[in-house]
Formats: sequence, structure tokens, C-alpha cells
Amino acid sequence: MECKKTIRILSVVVNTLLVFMGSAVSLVSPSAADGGSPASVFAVVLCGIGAVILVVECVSAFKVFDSTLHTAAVALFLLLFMLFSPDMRAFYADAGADTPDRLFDIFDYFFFTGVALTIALFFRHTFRPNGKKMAIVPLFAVGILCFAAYVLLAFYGLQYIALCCFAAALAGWFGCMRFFSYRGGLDNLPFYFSAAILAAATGMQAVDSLYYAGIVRGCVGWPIGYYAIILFCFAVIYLFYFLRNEGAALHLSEYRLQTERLKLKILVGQMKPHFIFNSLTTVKSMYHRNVEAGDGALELFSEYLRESLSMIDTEIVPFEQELQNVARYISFINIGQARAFDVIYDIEATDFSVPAFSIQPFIENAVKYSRVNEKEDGCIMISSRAADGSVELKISDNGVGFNMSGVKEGAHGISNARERFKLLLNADLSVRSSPGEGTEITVYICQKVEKK
Amino acid sequence: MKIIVVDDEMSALQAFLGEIIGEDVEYKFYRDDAEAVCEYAAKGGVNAAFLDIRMPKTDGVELAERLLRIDPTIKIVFITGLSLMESDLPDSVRKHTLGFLYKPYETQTLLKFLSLIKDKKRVLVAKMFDTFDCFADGEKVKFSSAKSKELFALLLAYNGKTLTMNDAISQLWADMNTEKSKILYRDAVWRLRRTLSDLDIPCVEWRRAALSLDKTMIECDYWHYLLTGRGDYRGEFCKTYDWSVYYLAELDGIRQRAVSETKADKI
Repeated sequence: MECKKTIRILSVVVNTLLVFMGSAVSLVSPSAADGGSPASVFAVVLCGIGAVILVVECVSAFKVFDSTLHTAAVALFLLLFMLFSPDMRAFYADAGADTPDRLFDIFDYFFFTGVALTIALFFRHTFRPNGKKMAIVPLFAVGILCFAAYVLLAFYGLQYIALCCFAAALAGWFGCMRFFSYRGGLDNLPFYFSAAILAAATGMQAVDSLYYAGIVRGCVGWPIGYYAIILFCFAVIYLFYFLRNEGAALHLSEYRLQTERLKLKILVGQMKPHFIFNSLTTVKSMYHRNVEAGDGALELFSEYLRESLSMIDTEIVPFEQELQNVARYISFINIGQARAFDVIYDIEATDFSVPAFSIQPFIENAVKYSRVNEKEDGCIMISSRAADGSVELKISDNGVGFNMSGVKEGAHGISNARERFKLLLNADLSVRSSPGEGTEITVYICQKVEKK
Repeated sequence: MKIIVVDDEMSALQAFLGEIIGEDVEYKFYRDDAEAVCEYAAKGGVNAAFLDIRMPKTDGVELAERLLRIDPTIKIVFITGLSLMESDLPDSVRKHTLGFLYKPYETQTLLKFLSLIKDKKRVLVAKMFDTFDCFADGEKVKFSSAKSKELFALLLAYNGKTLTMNDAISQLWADMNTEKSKILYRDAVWRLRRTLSDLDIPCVEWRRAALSLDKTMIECDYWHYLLTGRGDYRGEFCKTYDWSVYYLAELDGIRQRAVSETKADKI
């Protein structure tokens, strides 16, 4: 794992450096349109960098992580695109090779489309509004149609029409993605930034062919400009993608660790040795009273123990099951008590889940700190109400209550339960209590919980 | 009825089963000896097998698979200490599994399995004359609160008609304010629901603010009396409940008719 991570970090650093170098080279170099050899030399340097990027991408794709295949594809198309660029043509011409302009234009455009589409694919893979992937088939269809149109129109010198169409389609697609992401609550600026420059590069290519068609003037030198733009776009996405992935992995492992720790804490809490021995003592004394009472106590205790242990494997349980745990706990602490106290179950909604053993601690608190069982009309009430798509779960008691400001955050197991509700169900828990008025705990839970 | 029990620590279960199982059941104990068990099963006539899942030499689930290959009509009950789920079992075994008997053994659960093995239709026997009580598999049902028991009695007295929340509240919590009585109604409903689902006899249909009964799962002396005029009615009906007095007139009417009919027969 550690080795893989190191390779990945190295590959990202090398790539990004190379891409930025490429961008710098292409931006400072004079254009092929001016004629002269320096441009072609720069173009060769650029192709060299492109080749190195491709090698690095391929190595990291096969050695490390399969989703970097996308970036390898982008690098491949980028290199091919550069090999057929007008600047390289100047280099080939200097070397005395024959470069049929029309054929090279078509190849150039083909690979440019390839770069744009693979970057779009990469976007789609990495970035999913509402957890769904964006539809990419239309964009591919438009890309292929535009390419066909380009080949046909090139004979009449009208290829700029196809280029403009593709630029518009690309911009439209990114626009849609932006819109859906915004609605899905996702917002990642670097992605939009690089999408915008990619669309701009396509636009510039369109403008460039407009220039060659004699329709617009004054844009000589843009071919080099748009390599730079594409390269820059690639670098930004790549860096961002890497950072995001690392961040997500870190978050996930932290989450796992946290739940593991919480589970352990709760288990230890349930299984406090003194609780076990007290319970066994109760069982024994019940047997002394009569065999039937002893059987009842033993059955209750073993069921309680079994459920607590099964919690090691379960994170969330149906609400009804949790209520059963509560009921068992209460009947158990009531064993042998002169004045049995009970919970009022004001239950309307049951179609939802809660973290295992998340309600019981509040009952324990109500008994231990609010002392509802000592009060004459003391009671605990658990109520659940359905309210458009979510459930309002309330645990209230009319015990002595406590001063909220006097309680440290994290005391009485409240923070533990709060963390679990937050981590497992993304539900917020609020506590209201004041001396003499009892305590009220409220949680709003989304009814439809996605199964992991 | 023949039952095989396979458990490596069998003394506890032996004592327990010996107390519970009636005379009509023939049962045979094996201590972790898969070969002997299969040999016995191959002779035929075995109705059910109680198998411990974890034994030193044998795996209970594998043994179940072997037994089912020998005789697919055998019903399986697994004995286990841990909380297990049916979904943990392979398909071929799950179809024939009645359930899990957890250690330490509970009388109620074992009785339930025995009636399932006998293919007896499990019904809730409700006795409403004199004081109200319910029985499942011969054991008295323990309701978790007095009001949930009373609510069930009222529902039975409604004899298949739907009992709305307002009706129930006006008869059970008449002297309380609306909000509080609704809370207590929901509490009683919830408790009744738990009691019945623990018994595995889901005879009550829960709807928003109303309850109704599936009469096929219940044997009730009161219903029987209404239908046939025969029964053990001696002028007392759910006698601890206030609302029961409204039913006495009808019952007395039936009794008088029955008495005069028998007199007429004698004459």
C-alpha cells in the first residue's frame, strides 16, 4: 500500500511538472505561422515532453490504479495531436519530408477530438452529480458527426463549421454538468475552470480555421496557444483529481476507524464487568425466590447479552429491534424492584433504522441522572412521528433534568450517540434539558437509508 | 413423532427437553456423532432434528445438509448460543429450517417449535369468560402491560369489526384528556404488537388509528358461544374491565335461550 501510494504521488508530481513545462514552452514559442525554425524546434521539445507524459501515465496506469487509464488515454491523444500539429509540419518540412496538408489537418482534428472526448470521459468518471454518471453518448455522437462533417467539408474549405459545432457541443455538455452538479450539491471549481479552458481551446481551433478560411483576421499564432491551454487544463484536472481521491481515501479510513472505535466503546460500555456481575447476582437471587422467576431473569439476561454481542457485526438496526433492546433492558433493570418503572412507547412510524444500541444510553441516562424511577409520576417517553420523508424521534423524560451549561460536551454518552447518528445516518441530534423540567432528545432521521 | 437431538453438551438440554416434551414425542440424543445420526435417520420416520451448530467434530449446518439428502422431509432447528440469522444459512438448508433455539433454552420458543413440527396450526386461544386470558402452545401469554391486554380483549369483543382509535380511547381511557389518552393508546398498541409478533401469531392488522383482527388465527370461547350457544359462560365476561358490562345482556340472552331449549328437550 505504502509503495503504491509513493509511486502515485511521484507520478502525479512528475506529470504535473511536465505538463506545466509543456504549457510554458508552447506559450513562449513563436508560432509556426511566422515561419522560421525556432517554432518547429519548440514543437519537437513539446512532443518530447508529451511522450514522457504518456510513458509516465502508462506506467502509473498499469502499476498503480486503473482509473488513471483515463489520463493515459488523454496523454496518448495529446501526443498524437501534437505530432500532427502545424508546428510539427514545419519541422517535417524542414527535414525534407512530404506533408500533405489536408490529410494532416484531418489527423490533427481527429486527435484533437480524441483529447476533448477523453478529458470529458475522465470528468464523467471522477465527478458524479447525485452519484450518477453524466450521459456521454450524445457528446460522442456529436464528436463523431462533427469529425465526419469536418472530413467532408474540408474539401470545400468549410471545415470551420464542424469545428464550431463541436466547440458548442462541448461547451453545452460541460454546461449541463455544471447545472446538474450545482443541483446535486457538488461544487468543484477547478473542474469547471479546466472545463472552461478546454471548451475555449476548441473554440480557438474553430476561430483558427475561420482565419484560414479568410473569414476572420488577426488571430495568427493561436495553434500553439491552444496546445498550451489543453495541457494546462489537463494539469489542473489531474492535480485536482489526485487531491480529491487522496482526500476521499483519507476520509473513508478515518470514518472506518472512528466507527470501529465507537463500537468497541459501546460494547465495553454494555459489558461493564460490574454490570455482568450485578446481573448474575440478580439472577441468583431470583432463583432463590422461585425457579420460574430465576428462569425469567436468566432468559432476559442471556438475550440481552446475545443482542449486545451481535452488535459487533451490525451498525444500524430497524427501529423496532432497537425498541426491543430497550424493552429488554428495562425489564432487566426492573427485576426484583419494588416499584417497576416503564417507558411509554408513543410509536407512530416504525419504517426506519437507527444505529444499534443508540436509544438505550438515553434511557440509562434518564434512570441514572434524571432519576425518573425515583419520582412518583416519573416516566420516559419514546415517540416517533413520520413527517414528509423523515422521522422525528424523541426521547423525553420528566426527571430532574440538568443544567445544559453545567454539562461538558461529551458527558453522559450523549456525544457518543450523537456521533453515531451523524456518521451512520447523517442525522442531527439535539438535547434540551433544564433543571426540574426533564430532558428531551430529538433526532430527525431520513426514512430511506441506503444500504451499504 | 420422532426427533433427533445432536448437541455436544447435552445434559442441560436433555433435562430441559425431558420436562417439556410430551409423551407423544420419541426423542433420541446424540453427542457429536454424525455417522450414528445419519444411520438413524436413514431408517426413516424422523420428523425433526435439533442440531447444535458448533460442535468439536461436526458442523451443524453440514450435518443438516447430509440429513436433508437422506430425508428431505426432516425439519431442522438449530441450537446456538450466538445470534444467528436465517440468511447465514445455505439455501438448501434454509428452506427446511424452522428457526433457532438459543441457549439457554426458553420454554416458549421450544413449545413453538414443537407445534410447528407437529404441523399443528398455531392459534391463539382466547378465554374471555370469567377473567380474560390468552394461551399460545398451551402457555399463558404474558402481556407487557395491563392496558395492552385490555385493548386486545376489546378488539376480540368487537368480533371482527374494526376498532378505531376513538372507540378504544372512549372505552379504555375515558377519564383522560385527548392528547394523553392518544399517547397511551399508541403505547398499548405498540406493546400488543410486540407481544403478538414475539409469539409469531400476527393476528392483528395495524392501520393508522384503527385495528382489525384476522379471526382465522384465534380460537375464542366468546365467538364460539355467539355462534353455537355452547360454552362455559357463567355470567362473567372479562370481569375486570368496565366496558364488559355492555356485552353481558347479549350473553345472558343466549344462555337463557340455551337453558329453555334444554328444558324443552327434557319435557
